[in-house]
Amino acid sequence: MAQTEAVSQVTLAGPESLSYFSMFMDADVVVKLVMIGLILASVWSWAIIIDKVTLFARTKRQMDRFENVFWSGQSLEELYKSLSSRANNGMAALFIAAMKEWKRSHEGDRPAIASLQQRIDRVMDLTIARETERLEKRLMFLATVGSAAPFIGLFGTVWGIMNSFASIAASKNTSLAVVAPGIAEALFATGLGLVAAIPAVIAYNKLTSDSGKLTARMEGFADEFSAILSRRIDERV
Amino acid sequence: MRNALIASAVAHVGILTAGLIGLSSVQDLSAPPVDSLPVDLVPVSELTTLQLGSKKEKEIREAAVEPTKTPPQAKPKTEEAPGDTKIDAPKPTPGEKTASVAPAASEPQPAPEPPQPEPEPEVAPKEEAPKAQAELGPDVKKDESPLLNVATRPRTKPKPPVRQPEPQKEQPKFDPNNIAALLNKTQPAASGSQASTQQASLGSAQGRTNVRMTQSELNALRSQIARCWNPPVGAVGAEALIVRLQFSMSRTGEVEGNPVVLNSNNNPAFNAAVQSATRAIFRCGPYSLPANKYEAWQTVILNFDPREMLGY
Repeated sequence: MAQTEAVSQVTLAGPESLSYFSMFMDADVVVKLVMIGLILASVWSWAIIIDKVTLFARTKRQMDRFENVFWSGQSLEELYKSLSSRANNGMAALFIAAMKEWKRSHEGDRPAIASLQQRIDRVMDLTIARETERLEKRLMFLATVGSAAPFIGLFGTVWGIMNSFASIAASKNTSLAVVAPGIAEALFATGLGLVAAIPAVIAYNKLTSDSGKLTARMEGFADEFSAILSRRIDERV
Repeated sequence: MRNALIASAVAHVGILTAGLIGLSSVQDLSAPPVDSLPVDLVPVSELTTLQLGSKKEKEIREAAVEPTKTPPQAKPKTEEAPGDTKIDAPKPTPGEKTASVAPAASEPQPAPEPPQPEPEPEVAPKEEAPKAQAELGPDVKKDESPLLNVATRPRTKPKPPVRQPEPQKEQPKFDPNNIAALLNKTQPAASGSQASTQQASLGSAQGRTNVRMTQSELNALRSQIARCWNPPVGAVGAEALIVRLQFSMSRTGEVEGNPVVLNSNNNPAFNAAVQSATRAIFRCGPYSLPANKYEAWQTVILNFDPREMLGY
């Protein structure tokens, strides 16, 4: 019985039916799950890549525009009025946070100017941290996929090869025709793992360095703006 | 983020479907058909067979296995001179003739008639016939002439009743001797000679064509000797001290005489090496070797190579 089953399996998995789809359909359940998981991971990591690339490009464009406006000699009050009405991010968010703190300190009868400088710094630090977190959100997933996907694919491969050796043992036939379909399926899993991992690793490195650049730019702006505000405060006192 | 996710999913689905359509069938690696090489397994013994022949002759690969064809009957007469011709040549001698003719004469009477008219007038007077016939029984092989006389007699018709009982008496006396004589003399004429007309090939004088000393048997002898051999390990350049010894053995596998050294060496330790090799040969005897192949191992040449022993 076992022999006839093995023979029928061999004839079913002949070379004519060995397409990628049939390779997937013939695979073991575990290998199938691994493949599906890897495909989903690839989909998700590409979604993150697309999202981050567009976000970083947009953020960079906004920063350029804001810097142009900021250094154009326009008064800070007017700039604040024009920006405060809408949601901001990046440098504009920094500017708004600092100006909000400035304004709030000068409101009322007794302006709290003594430690205004420290408060503004702290608020801008907080905003930088929030912006950086927004920029780097989900980047860790890319790192995880980049390092773990090959292992997951390898797991699927090992499982598939285990099965094909089990089929050798069952059919007592060492011919390559018995082993080859199982090994091809198994290697397909490793291939998918690499397909998911390689773009993830490359994109992770690129996006991390990009977000580092944006963060550094924001910190530079925060220091400059802090210096300007500090000068104003000292002039008032 | 949702847009990016949708874009990614769409791109993946697109790539997967493109892969399924474009790469749907895997190209099969069809190797060009290769002609299979016929491989024969040749036993080693074929290479170690001693061929029958003499040492002075050149080697002839094709052994003279087939007996020479029986020469046409005209030939033996020309080859009478050599000593072998007794066997080779079927030329009738006087003795033979009596044997062959006598039974013919005894059984059917009309058969000998045609040759008889000639001898009849010459040799045989009719009065002598009874005497000759009396002599016939004991003296079959004595002479031609009495026999011929007997042959003539059947023609005379008055005597047949007398003669017919006589052959019956004669037959029991004849048969054992005559049949043996017939057999002895007809055989060689049919089978030809053992002497081959082909040239002798290189080989051992005592060689047989079917003596085979196989490689494994040679190895057996080698291992028996190697067990007892203590090569001069300490000498300078000991690994180069190859000693080539020739020695002969008796049928019981004992070494006969002294081994002969076939090579020489400048190394001062060479004598010691020769001594150790000779000692090894004598210590391990008698050797157990296949007795039916004595011709193959009667004289053996052995290389004593310390490199194999020292593991270089």
